[in-house]
Amino acid sequence: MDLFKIIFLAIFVNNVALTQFLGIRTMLGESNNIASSLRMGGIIMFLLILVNFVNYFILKYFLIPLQIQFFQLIIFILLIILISQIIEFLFRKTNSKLFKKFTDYFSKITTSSIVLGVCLLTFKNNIAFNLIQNLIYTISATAGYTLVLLVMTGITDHLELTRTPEGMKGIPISLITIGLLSLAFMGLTGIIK
Amino acid sequence: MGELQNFSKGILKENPVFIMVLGICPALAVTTSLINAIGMGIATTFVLIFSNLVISVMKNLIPDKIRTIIFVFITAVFVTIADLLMKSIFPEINKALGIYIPLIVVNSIILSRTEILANKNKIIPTFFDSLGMGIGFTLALMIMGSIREILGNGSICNYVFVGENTRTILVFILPPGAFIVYAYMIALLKKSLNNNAQ
Repeated sequence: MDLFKIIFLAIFVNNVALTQFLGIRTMLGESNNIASSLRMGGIIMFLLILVNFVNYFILKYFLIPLQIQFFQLIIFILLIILISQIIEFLFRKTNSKLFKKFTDYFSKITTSSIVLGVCLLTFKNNIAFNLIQNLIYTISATAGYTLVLLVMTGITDHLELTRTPEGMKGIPISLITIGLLSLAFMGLTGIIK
Repeated sequence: MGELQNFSKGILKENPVFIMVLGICPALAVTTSLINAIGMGIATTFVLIFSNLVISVMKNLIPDKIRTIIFVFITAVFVTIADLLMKSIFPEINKALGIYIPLIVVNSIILSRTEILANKNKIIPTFFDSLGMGIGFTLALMIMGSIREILGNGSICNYVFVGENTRTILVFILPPGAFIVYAYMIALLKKSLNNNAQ
């Protein structure tokens, strides 16, 4: 598979938020601004690149030769927590001002399904991928997530100004909005064969 | 009485999916058919009960600073067990559920229950609360699964009851249908509970 195909499929056709339902909780209810959405996407991307880089070597030289792939879930989740703890520690040691901006996100992200989900997706479907293709897939999948996060940020701001029925306020109307977005993205399904 | 209340609050009053809006990802992803929903519900209940019991037994041994890592590790062990068990007993359901079985590890129902409940309580209340939450989760998934399967596929439990050339509302078994059904379920339940309170 060439790289363009991987990128397009991961961002638009198989968008992790809209077709795989990963990380939906962070989009609902609360209104973010654009800067914080970008920051969130950036941290997820950064964390996932590191995690998938390490995972690739663990899988290739440790789990697959020994045929113990069923341990991959335990190793993935421990690695995610470990790496995010290390990054948090480094942030705290080096730059306190930067740390304050990012520290809230880490607790949200480690237990959000987006990080583990993209990890599992990367190594489930694409076991034949090489390292470069894996990393490209990771980057474009998180870019697709960030795109949806940004779109939802814009729409949520407008939703606050509209008159919605009493029961629909908050989470339900956001869910319907994401559903319509998902319907729109489905229109791109047949583009790449 | 206390146990009964612990058990029953997870089913309606604090239903994890519709009232507390936890565990959205599996609720949206696996409810394309009733069978998948039941499989996911049973797997999650299994993990919820066993990991909470183990944590509740070990709560005095776990150092407070690294407790999240240990909780997640214990949950991951039980999810792996559930995954392997399902693979050998129901291989088809396991294939249909795909990555959502491993994703039980980061399911917020389990994370919040271990943090709120198992970390502080004794074994028996923990067991009944986990069982109630698990059954509430399974019931919610079953409701969504049957709505989506009936509307989207014209069948229930793989038994097709519409004619061969009948058109069904296909969007309901595709991803957008999940969001819309879930939104309406939350809104309906919220409204009926508000009416009852008044």
